[in-house]
Amino acid sequence: MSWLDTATGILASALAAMTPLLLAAAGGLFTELAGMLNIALEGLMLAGAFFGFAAASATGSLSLGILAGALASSAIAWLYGSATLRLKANAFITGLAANIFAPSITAVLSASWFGTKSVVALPIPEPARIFQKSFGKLPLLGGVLFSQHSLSYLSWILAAGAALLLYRSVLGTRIRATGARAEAVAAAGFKPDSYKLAAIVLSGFFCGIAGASLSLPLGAYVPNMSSGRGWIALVAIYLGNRRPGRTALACFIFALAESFSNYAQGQFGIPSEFILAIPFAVTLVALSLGTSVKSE
Amino acid sequence: MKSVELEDIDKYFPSSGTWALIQARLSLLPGQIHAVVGENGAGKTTLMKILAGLERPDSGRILVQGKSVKFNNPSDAARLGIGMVHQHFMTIPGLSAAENILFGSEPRTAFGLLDRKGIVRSAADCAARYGFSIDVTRNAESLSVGERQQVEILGLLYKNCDILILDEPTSVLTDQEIRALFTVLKQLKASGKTIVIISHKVGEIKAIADRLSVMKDGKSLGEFKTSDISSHALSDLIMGEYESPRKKIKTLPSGQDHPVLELQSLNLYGQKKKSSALRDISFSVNEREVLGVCALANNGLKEMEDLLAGRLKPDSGSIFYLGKPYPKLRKAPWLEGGIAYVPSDRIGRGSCAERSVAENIVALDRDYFFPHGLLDQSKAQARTLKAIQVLSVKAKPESNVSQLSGGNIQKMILGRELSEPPAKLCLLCEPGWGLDYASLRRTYKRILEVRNKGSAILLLSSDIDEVLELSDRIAVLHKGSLAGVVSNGPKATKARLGALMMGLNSDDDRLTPIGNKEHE
Repeated sequence: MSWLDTATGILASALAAMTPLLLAAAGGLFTELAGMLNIALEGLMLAGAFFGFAAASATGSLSLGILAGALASSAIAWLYGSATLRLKANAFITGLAANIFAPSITAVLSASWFGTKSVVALPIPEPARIFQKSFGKLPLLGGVLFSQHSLSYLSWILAAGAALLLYRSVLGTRIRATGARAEAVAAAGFKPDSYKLAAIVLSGFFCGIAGASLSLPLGAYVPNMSSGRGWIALVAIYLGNRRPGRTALACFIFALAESFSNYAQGQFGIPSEFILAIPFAVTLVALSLGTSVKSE
Repeated sequence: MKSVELEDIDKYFPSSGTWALIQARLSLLPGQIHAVVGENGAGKTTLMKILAGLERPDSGRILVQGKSVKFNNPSDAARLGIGMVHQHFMTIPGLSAAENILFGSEPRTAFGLLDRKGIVRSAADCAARYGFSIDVTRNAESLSVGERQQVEILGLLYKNCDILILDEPTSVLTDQEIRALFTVLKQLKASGKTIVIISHKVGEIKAIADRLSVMKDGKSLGEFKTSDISSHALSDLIMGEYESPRKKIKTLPSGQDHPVLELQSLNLYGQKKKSSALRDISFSVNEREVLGVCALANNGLKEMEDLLAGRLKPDSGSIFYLGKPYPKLRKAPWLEGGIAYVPSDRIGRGSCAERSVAENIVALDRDYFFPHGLLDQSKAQARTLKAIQVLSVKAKPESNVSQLSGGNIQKMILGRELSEPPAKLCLLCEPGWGLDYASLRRTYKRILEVRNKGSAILLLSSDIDEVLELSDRIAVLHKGSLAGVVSNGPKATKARLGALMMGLNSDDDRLTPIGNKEHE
């Protein structure tokens, strides 16, 4: 295998790895721009992964699976948001609660529906690689771009949609205004809390699809399969300075690190524990570099 | 055209344990400019917030056109055409001026998307109709305070408010901006709008208001026709003392050989590097001296503040403090080598509104007040009491800053920065912002006391009166350059400074050449 094939291979799997990150970061942008720290991204993703997989295996439809993941995660986000905004609970604690609640409820339901609390693998349709046949044979980047499965393309559309919603729609403007100056929103006669709740539910919606994009292509639900991606998405938002384009770029860099570490396992004779830590090391370095650049 | 009556309004603030309003009354006649006057903390703002639906009264009635109404939120008031421009402007950063003006009633296209062209067009139309010359496509954070105020007024006009309440609208404006505002207000009055301005400035009230109501300690002292009451009687009503004619300060021989702050050929580029925000600025501030720097909005005062506050870095040139490079981070003013800084933005930079008065004061010195990382209550208490005594802030150390009136917040910041022992260098930006007459006198007295103890004071202010009253020397900025540095003597007149601020440098000016330090 030539180095070129290796590079395109790493790039192609980086694009696949970017899918859940991009969606979770798009969701996190809503809460971030509404002026809230949403630490529940991780738990919301996990809920999306489980319910998405369960619905897909029950109905045999990927679309219904995605929808179920999005709705289930939105519902949990709504609970989390209501507890924080209406009942005035501390957002950090309710976020933590959501992160603990998601793996527990999925474990309970997994035991009762599938009879196991560990990996559930059931036959579900595989996401189509819709451009593979027509364009997948293009050289270099063509192959990289067009060999992805449909969920990746969906994530790009949804991420662009999130940016459009935030910056070009009335709802998005109100959400951003709430984050920038809530008292001005109140003075204009609106309820800042309802926009915050909307932002939380939207973040749940996107995280749900992010989770589904983990479990559906794999054809299995693995407990704790989000494995820190919700947190990395949060870091991507900060690195991206809360701007959609830069956040997407940060997601790509993290995805590249993940894909490289997958490739590098067993390649260089370095213990795989170190290799697997690459994405997290990149996160840490990027975060400290990012903050020092910003404070300049 | 509507008449409005507020009858016997009571309002109690349980969190601070104070009665803000006791049987307060007000009646507004349609098509008139009405002033609500009184000292800081007299309850003017609270009463007006009740009229604008932002606060609910504990008891009392609001009558619009003789009908009793209840406002649960500002929209209820807006539906009846009542809107308020707040003292701390509520423009939303991240949105354009046009989006701010139309906020809440944006035209939209399909799918709930914003009609961005329509927003700009409607906002520009509205601005043109009322004679405002603002570029509505600009981002809200890039607007000067005067422009932010215009945006807020336009927002109310766009929503067809016919009763406009303005909370201390002139406190941040330059003379020119005030004149422009008054022209606008008179035009609005002529078109049938009713205007309420909250103010404590006698001259302004006489100049613009048809009628006025006086408030003191939450009570209404009565309503008057402005023409029936003399300036002296009015100031007597507001603070129980006549305003004494302004005295020129006694300038002291400043320690000219002891420059405390030196700026050497500072240059700062503008936002897009097309223009320069500050050009070749050199001056020094000496021991025992107040150097006043005045300028109109957008002429470099804000950038100079940002440079000295460490928020911006100069693109070239250097700044020295006591002969050493200017510190990146300042120490608390009462520490050796500390710097006092009163920012022009008292809520964003000067204080943290969600924290207590005490926390706002001790936060400047972590090592001393937080030994081993924990707050030392007794030290904090002592320093807080010391700071709030300086200008007698009406608040308890544990009250939240957000509950304080604007003037009290400013006094808290001034007290914190100017308490004993005073800093070698004091950077005071618009220190008189929003203070009533009595507080202003005390503040100026304290500033001069600090100077007499040897501090170097750099006063950045857009208020010519303030600069003339406090400064030993006066520097004028115009378009980012020093238009002149004059000693504060008989020749430093308002007219001359005004001319310099507008860039009209007449030939016979015998100004100290810029950049040449006087002792050289």
